[in-house]
Order: sequence, then C-alpha cells, then structure tokens
Amino acid sequence: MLLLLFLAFMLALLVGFDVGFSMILSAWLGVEYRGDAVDSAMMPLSMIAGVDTYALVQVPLFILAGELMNRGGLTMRLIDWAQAMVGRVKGSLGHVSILTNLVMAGVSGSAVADAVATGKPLIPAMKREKYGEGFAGAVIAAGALLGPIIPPSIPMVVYAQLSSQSVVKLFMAGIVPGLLLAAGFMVVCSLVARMRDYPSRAPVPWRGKATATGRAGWALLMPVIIIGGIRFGLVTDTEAAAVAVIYSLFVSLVIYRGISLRELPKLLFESGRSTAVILFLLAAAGPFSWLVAESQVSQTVVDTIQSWSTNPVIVLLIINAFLLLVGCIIEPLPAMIIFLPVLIPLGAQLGIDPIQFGAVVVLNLMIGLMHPPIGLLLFVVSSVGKIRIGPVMWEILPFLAWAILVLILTIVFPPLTLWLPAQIR
Amino acid sequence: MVDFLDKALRAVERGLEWLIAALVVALLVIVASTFVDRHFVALPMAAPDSYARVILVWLTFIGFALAVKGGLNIRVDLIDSRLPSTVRRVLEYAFDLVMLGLTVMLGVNGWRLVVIGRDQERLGTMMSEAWPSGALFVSCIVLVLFLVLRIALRFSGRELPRHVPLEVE
Repeated sequence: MLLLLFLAFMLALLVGFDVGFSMILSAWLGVEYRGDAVDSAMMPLSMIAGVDTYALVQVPLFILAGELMNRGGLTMRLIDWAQAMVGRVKGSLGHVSILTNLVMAGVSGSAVADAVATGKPLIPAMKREKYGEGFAGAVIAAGALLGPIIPPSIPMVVYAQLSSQSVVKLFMAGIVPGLLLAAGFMVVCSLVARMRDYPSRAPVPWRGKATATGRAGWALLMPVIIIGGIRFGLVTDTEAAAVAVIYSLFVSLVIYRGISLRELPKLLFESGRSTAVILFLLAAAGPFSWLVAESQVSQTVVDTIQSWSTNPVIVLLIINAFLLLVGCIIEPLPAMIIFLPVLIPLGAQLGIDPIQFGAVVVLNLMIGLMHPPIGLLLFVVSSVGKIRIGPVMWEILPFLAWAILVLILTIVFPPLTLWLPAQIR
Repeated sequence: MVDFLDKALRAVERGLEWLIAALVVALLVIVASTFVDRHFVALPMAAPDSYARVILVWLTFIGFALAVKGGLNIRVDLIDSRLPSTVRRVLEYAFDLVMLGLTVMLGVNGWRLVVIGRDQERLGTMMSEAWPSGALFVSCIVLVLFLVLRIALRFSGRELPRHVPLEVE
C-alpha cells in the first residue's frame, strides 16, 4: 500500500502538481493509512525540522551575493577582463563565456543566475559576430553549469543537509571536476570555432590586459576571498556567504556604483523568495522521508541493485545512468530531494565515500540542467538570448558528451573528488 | 467581495515582502556577528545560530506562500504543458483545491505545535519553541487566503492580477 502511495506521488508530480505539495500529499495519505499509529502533527514537525538548520543559512546569502554581483556590474567587468585575456583566440566569445562563468562560479552557486547574467550581453554579441545562434546558447548554458559545481554550491549545501556531511568538504570535492569541465568546454569551443571559422578579436597589448585586470580586480578577488577563506579556516562556510554579500554589496554600491540603495529592498526580497522555493522542498522532504522509510522503497532499491552487482563502481554507474534518465523529466533540486533518501543508504551499504557520492550525484543532476528535453538552462538561454530552442539542443551535445565523460571519470577515479577534501583537517 | 479580498491581500503581500527583505538582512547581520565575535570582539548574544535558524524557518514558509501567489513554486510541466486547455483548467482547479486542503491540515497541526511549543524554551535564546511552529501556522493562513482568492477569481473567469514586488517607484 505504501509503495502505491509512492507511485501516486510520482503521478501527482508528473501531471504538474507542486513538487513540495506532492511530497506532502503522499506522506499525509501514508499517515492516514497508518491510522492512530502515527500522529499527524509529525507532518509539520518534520517540515520545520527540515529547515531548522544553521548550515542552510548560507543559501539565501549566496543567492543574494550572486544577485548583487550580476546587477552591481561585477559580471560585466569580468566579461571585459575575459575578452582582454582570450579575445585573440578563434571563437573568443565562447572562451570568454566559459572563463567568466568559471570566475563567477567561485561566488554564485546558481547556474540559472549565471546563465542570465552572461547570456544577456554575450548571446547578442555572438550573434552579431555570426556565431550560430545554437552555439551561442549552448556555450552559455555549458558555462553556467560550472556555477553549482565549483564552490560555493547550493545543491552541495542541500546534499550536505540530506546526508549529514561536511559542506566544506563537499565544496572542495567540486573543484577538480569543475576545472575539468571548464577545460573540456574550452577545447570544444576551440574545435567548433576552427571548424566553422569563427572570428577572433585583435590581440590586446599587455598594458590593455593590465588595465582590464585592474578594472575587474575587485570582482576577481571575490572567489579568492571566499574559497581561500574557507580553505584556510578564516571563515566557516556560512560566514563565507556573509562575507560574499558584504563584499559584493560594498563593491556594487561604493566602488562600481552599479546599483543604488533604492534597489536593495527588491533584491533582498527576491533573494529571500528564491531561497524559500528551494528550502520549502527540503521542508517537504521531512514527511516524505518518513514515507520512503515506511514504504521500504530504499531497501527494495538497495536489494534490487545489489542483486545486479556489489561492485561500488558498477553500482555508481547504474545509479548515475538512472539519475541521468531522471534528469530528463525532473529538475535537479527536486530530483535530489526525492531520490537521495533512497540512494544514500545504498551508497553507505556499499562503502562508497559519501563525499565522492555527493560530488558525483550533484554533478550528475546538474548535467540534467543542460540535457534535452527539459534542461532548464536550455530554456533560460533561449529566453534570455531570444533564440530558438532546437538549435541550442543540437549544439549542446558536444558539451554534454564532455560533461558525461567527466562524470564517468569522477566515478572511476575517486581521488578526483576526494583528494582536495582530504587536505582539510 | 472578491475585489475587497484582492485589495486586502495586496496590502498583506506588500507587508510580507518587506518582512522577507528584513529577514534576509537579519540573517546577514547575525552571521556577520558570529565572524566578528570569533575574530574581534566578544558579542553578548549567546546562541546566534538559534536565532538565525528561527529566522530561516520564517523566511522559508512566508517566502513560499508569496512564491505560490506569484506562481514561482516548482512544478514539473512535462505532461501538463501538452494537455488540452480544458483539461489543464480542470487540473488547475483540482491542484488549488488539494493544496488548500493540505494547507488547512498543516495549519491545524501547526497550531497544535504552537500550543505545545509555548511552554518549551529554545535553548540559548529568549524564545520558545512556538516561534518556528508559528512561521508554518502564519504561512498556512496566508496561503489559504491566497488560494481562496485564486479559486474565487478563477471561478468568476478572472486571473490573479500581476503584482510587481517592491518596485522602485
């Protein structure tokens, strides 16, 4: 019966009912089915407990820091800096997009915010320089993928909450895969640019490069302060989020003067509301986790997969194939909250390191952001750049292939995700 | 009646938007104070993390009610977007009614937690455990009002008017 409720939840989800309320609905039906054995006050109690956690305080702060960075002029200066650095390369605007996103990823934890911020100026510029519209959208989507992989990362914070792991170690686990992704994306850009003879820009002399670096200096310092601060123990992960907000607020208001004080209330509200949408899913995951435990879905999945193989690498590959399919129909954060209560016990039983497991799962589900048919980033770049979605879906394929290859590498070679976290005491 | 509810709720919504903005500022101040406390000056607040957690709970539940009003809550529209408009309309009614029922259930049980929590001290703070439960209860009231308005407007063939949050005049 409880398994049926789990299936009813999937149905409610797929016909378009609110994801959080789908979880609450199925859990409530489960509570009613159990009769007097479970008090229905368990529902609100576990929902509150789901978000009553200090580590989650960094979610609204990192969202706010990203918004301030984008609207305060820091992103535009990063784009100018990247153009000065790699403008002479063929198809340079593609590289500019990846490089800008790589730096921005060190501050913002949201792929969508990064795609909007870099897509707005760069997609029209690429269209003017006769890049294909599909490629213009695809390269922005691929670059934005780095946001939630390289620390700070909101999905990593959510995973840490669901699995009781160290946020800092998870942050560090994302660095190497993130850099691998960025390097591969730039190679893809180079190959496509050579094949299609995309233009390059006149080389910028060293003096010009120094000027661009100076202009973007405040923005370039941000990831250094955040990642360095966390790595060397000057700030906790949550304090790093507050430092990011204060720093970006200071730079946006005082140095670059990209925003005014009058705009702040709206920015604060929108960051708070975006946070609420994410954290409500975590709240709803409280009663839903009870249903998952009661229905023994986890055990059924664990037994089924273990009957196929007990080799951790093979099991991780199976889980990832499954999650890539899930990513075709469900967005990453809801997918994480729905399936992790089932998958985390499986990883633990097979002795897979929870940090590696977290990095792999986050990377996998973030790949879902850019894979057709519902990759959210594809729709975002299509909307921001006013381009057709079809060509973007086609042009994203080489980037997608590289991202999946990096995913496989992180599964097969655990040091890629475990070496950096091991350096933290 | 519907127009009166609409106007009243817009005023409530504007107030809640300012509340959300204030809660984000409060979180920033509290987290920054922990950094100052650790590195520079000892501050008198005993358990800043406990206060931050209560604020986060309020931010989550009140913010979610506003997100539902703005249609920003997360849904999977893979099948939904391919359905005929009449089916979609029926589904939208059904979704709102189910959400309304669940919200009432959560609100009633949330109130039970408020009553129980009133006598429980939240460690390190001057608050009781009723504070976080109160967030869920208040958000349920707001959400019920929003949903009733939306259902009533749909029933009279109208949509919720678009509202621009904290727009600079």
